[in-house]
Amino acid sequence: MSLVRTAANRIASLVVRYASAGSKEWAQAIESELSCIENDWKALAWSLGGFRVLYAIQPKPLGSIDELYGEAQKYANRRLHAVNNGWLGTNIYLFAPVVCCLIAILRIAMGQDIPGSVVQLTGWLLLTPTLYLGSREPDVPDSDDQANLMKFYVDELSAKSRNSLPFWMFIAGVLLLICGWELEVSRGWGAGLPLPLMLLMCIPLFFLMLLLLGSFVATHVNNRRRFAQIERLLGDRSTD
Amino acid sequence: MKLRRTPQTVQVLLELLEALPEWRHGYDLSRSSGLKSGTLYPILIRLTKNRLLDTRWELSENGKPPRHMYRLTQSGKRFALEIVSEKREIMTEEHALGV
Repeated sequence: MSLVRTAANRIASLVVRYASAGSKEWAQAIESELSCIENDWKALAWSLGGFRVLYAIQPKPLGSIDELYGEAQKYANRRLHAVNNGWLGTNIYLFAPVVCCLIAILRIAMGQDIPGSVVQLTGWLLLTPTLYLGSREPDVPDSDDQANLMKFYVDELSAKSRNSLPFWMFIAGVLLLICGWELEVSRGWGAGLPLPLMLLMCIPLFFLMLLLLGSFVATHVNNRRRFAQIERLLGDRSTD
Repeated sequence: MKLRRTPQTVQVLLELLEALPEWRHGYDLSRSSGLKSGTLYPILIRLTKNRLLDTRWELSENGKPPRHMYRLTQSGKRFALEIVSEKREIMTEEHALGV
């Protein structure tokens, strides 16, 4: 097998692996067509096009109330698992934003780069509560309490929706942080710091924030579609 | 969900309409429509979500992996025919205006 064909197969398998639950079937469809494409370069182009399926974020289809109950149970177990990690285990990653807040306050108090520090502090103050809300100890109903478990699942999804305050706090927080860093970089540039050092400081942070924002948007899209599935399912059930 | 009638979506619908009642494979559709996999599959996903497209897996022989196949549903057929008649009307109007 040629190197190009191997690359095509690897890429297609990678797409299958990382496709969302509802899009996996489509990623597999693209992968299975590879065996019918004789030209290796065309096969590579075909599998590269498959990356587009990764953007089609779809949750696993919900066909019945039992499946919804199963999903609600899985979600509740994940949340309970987070609780069982203990307070420190669950909230340890909150120390980073708290430390960053303190650094920003110190910088403001010392009169260092006040505009950048104020913007960063505002960003962290918006971001930290939303991170805490995601890890807070939930009031999970018993696993055999079907109705309340499904209600808990729906409420949690709705709390993460676009209509909720934490959603917009998160988006505003991330954007303010990026602006704060930009202000800091522009000040550092003026202060005569060497460009490679500035780039070394900023590029990883910038990509980290983009990654965080991307993963947040992907989760949001997945939740929104799951919510729509549940509404459709419960709507069908009430009309029956 | 509302389906956007992009030229590519219309093209895929017409290809599938011509093929009825046969099932079509993804790569065949790509070759006949000239669309790349990155354009074709999101369209197929949207058509399926709108219940305009039926899908199934075909068991292949000679140890080859099963292939995914596509065919328009009854509502998909109606939708595609609607598009064909709209296209004809536009062409007639253009002809009458001498465009």
